Amino acid sequence: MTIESSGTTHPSDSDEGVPALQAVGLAKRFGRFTALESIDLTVRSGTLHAIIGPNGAGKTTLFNVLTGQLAPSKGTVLVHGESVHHVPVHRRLGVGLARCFQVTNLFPELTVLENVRLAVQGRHSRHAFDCWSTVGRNRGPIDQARQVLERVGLQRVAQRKTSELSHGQQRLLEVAMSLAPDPKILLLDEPTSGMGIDDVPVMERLLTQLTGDYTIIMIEHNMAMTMRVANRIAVLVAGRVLIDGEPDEIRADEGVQRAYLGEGLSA
Amino acid sequence: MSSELLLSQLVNGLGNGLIYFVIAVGFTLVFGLMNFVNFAHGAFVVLGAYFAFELLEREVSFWAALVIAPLLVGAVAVVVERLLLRRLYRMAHTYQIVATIGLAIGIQEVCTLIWGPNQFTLPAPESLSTTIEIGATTYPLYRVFVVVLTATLALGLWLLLERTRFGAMLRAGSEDADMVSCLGINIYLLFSLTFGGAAFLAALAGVLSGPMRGLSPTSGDSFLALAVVVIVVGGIGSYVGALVAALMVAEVQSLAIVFAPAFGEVVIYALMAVVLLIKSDFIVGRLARA
Amino acid sequence: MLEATSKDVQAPAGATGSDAERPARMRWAIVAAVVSVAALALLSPSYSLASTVLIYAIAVLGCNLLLGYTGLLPFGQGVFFGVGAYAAGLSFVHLEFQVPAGLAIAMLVGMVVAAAVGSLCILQRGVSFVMLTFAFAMMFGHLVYVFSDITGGENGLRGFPGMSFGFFGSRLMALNTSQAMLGVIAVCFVAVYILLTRVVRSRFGATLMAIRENEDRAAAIGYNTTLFKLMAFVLSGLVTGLAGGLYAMHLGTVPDTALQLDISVTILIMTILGGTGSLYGSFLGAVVYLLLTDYLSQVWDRWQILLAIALIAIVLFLRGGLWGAIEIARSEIGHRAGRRRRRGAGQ
Repeated sequence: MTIESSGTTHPSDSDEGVPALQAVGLAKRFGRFTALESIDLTVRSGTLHAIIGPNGAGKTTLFNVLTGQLAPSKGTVLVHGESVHHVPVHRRLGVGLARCFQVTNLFPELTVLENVRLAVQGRHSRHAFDCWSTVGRNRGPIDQARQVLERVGLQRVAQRKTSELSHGQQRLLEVAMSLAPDPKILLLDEPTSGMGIDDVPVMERLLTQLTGDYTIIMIEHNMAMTMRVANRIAVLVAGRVLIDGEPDEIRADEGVQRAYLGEGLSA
Repeated sequence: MSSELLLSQLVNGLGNGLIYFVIAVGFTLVFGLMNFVNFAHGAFVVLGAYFAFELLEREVSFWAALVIAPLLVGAVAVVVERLLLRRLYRMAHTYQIVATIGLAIGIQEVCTLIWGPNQFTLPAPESLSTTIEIGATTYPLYRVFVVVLTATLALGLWLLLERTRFGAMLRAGSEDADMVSCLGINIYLLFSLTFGGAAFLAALAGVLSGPMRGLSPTSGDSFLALAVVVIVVGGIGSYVGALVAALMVAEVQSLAIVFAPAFGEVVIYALMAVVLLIKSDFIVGRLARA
Repeated sequence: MLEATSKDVQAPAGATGSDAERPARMRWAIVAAVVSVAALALLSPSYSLASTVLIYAIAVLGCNLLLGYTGLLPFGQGVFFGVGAYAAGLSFVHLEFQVPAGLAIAMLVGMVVAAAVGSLCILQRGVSFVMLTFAFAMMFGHLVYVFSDITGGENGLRGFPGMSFGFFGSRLMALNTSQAMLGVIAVCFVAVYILLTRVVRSRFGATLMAIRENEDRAAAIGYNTTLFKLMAFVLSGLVTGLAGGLYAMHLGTVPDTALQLDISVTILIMTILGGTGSLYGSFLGAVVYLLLTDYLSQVWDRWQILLAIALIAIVLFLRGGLWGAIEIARSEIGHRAGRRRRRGAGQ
């Protein structure tokens, strides 16, 4: 399967009715502590839906529930209209959900290309039991990996070891790893985390390009960038959705300003 | 098979178990606090016995040797730690293991060089070389002494860990060494003391074992294996776990000697395998899903 | 707890090179193996020592597959070596098998034991895994004496018939000279070297390296890491069992030392000494260790003190082992040549 930069791989017109991902009445309790409470979220195909909120609001917990790492105490998660309740973590890829992590979690001594090739191959991991034919012989995953690297802009460092990359490049590689198995929905956990001021525009451009071809759900703390790239923003405070709307709505909302104590919303 | 034999074997198990505990607790503390695997720990046990042997040869009393030999080993350990082992703390465990294997081989060979390769035992002190009556059986007084001493030591260690500031630092350091050093505590001093303390305990166990079993330069391996089994069974870093596991291992061994003597040495490894299987995700996971 | 700030086990980098390079490099592996074996045979003080080197080299390859490529520190390789030796030995003594059949038994038993031991050990990670393999190594060492009517206990397994090479009863060649034995062992070594070279360059090998680098991420992107680790373990058991079988054939007996902890430690030391960065390092480790100790043990009884110092020195200064030293030298030469070229071009 090839990844193209026009929206032909994942047409959203035909699924206009069915949202890519829906959380319905999600709740998550850890003993007496309620991390999430009656979360309703609707993410349309081909859009970038950002989740913002102060620290401790439950954003990463929400991600963990969406990806199946945590089971919800109540409610369901629907992907393209179907419940994924019984799908275990390592099968969620099969359902089209891919996740990138907040803390860079790559293969340090392997090359950038190999990192992505592994992510591509991981989709059909039973082929990886092949003990005889050399890696280079299987062009499919390698070609697909190269395409992903081009998409993300890392093709020039394909042969470098991950440990030699700058932090910004590593974050881009993280995104590439989640793109590699050709998912439909990308869950990006703070993609610009720790990035310097020069690297953020690169990520912003990439996110803008990817929106439309992919459905993206993104946790972010970089408000300025989020306001520019997101189609919709959900604000999570103390485990609840305070408000869910378009960037302008969010910017103007008093409740949100209070939640952030008036900081961080000016661009 | 008489109940007297069984009883005396169980009491043996108690004594052995407490000695295993003293050996294992140092190993697990070092691993828990410093995330450092010391494969020379068994060598410290043997070194303690050798130092005691040398002291006894020079007409030092057993009681003095019981204290001096472990102190000497502790001092050696601290020196080695400061000069050499300190550089290994941030390395992958593989290299800690390889380096401490080198240390263990070094200690083993130096012992052979100085004292020869043959087995030896330490003479028990005169005052303890008699037997006493426990119920219907007679029992060596020395073994009773070992039980009393090690039990007191275990209690003292527990108090040290739970009730003193030093112990609190150790426990905090096990959770987060970097944080503890940020609190202004000299973490490297803490490490040196802990490592020296662990070596002291190991050497003490070696001295105590001396009159009970034969030792040679190569005995270090079996002491290390024992510590490993105890810790695997009891849980890495756990004080109480080490105590319970040590007693369990020793009692299983004692019972095996009575019922299935051929398998005496092997049975502790079988126990370890069983415990692992029970504890592992494999079983726990299946039970959770059931 | 102090976190390791450096992934220090020197490791081969995953390579996704161009197709054109592949056939050439496979040829290089074959050439390297054959030339090295020939050089060893010619330069070694005796054929018997060369045989011992190659036997251990096979075992070290098996260990390196786990240590250098999968990132596991296996402390129990001596178990597979020993059971392979005893299995082959028993088949020679009681079933009058010839060498190929005996070796096949050794490999089979090595595989089975590795599967059994591995399935328990693989359940644990990190230091727990190491401790487990260590404990199994001790356990099997004791088992030799528990079943001494089978193994011969302290006296070892004796009563070997003359070794011969043949299949299904027909004897093709008697293996009664050290040259003949060396021949069989050399062929086995080259075969294992080539086989493992293919394995580590395959997708399976690439997955092992991913597991080594970041097991959690490998699992997250879809690989059943437990199964891969177990397969690596079993393959290692097969190779190490073969080494054990060759050991029995070569010695004409199986001493009780074949299953003791010492063998596990020695194999591990050779693996680290030679360098975990490549398969060739395994050959280097066996050669240097055995030739050096053969010489040193004649000079000084306590030569092991030098070994102890060497181990500590390697950990402190040269973690890549001998292979690592070669790589450093290569890149130094490359740098100097580059500088000279640039200076020459400037004129």
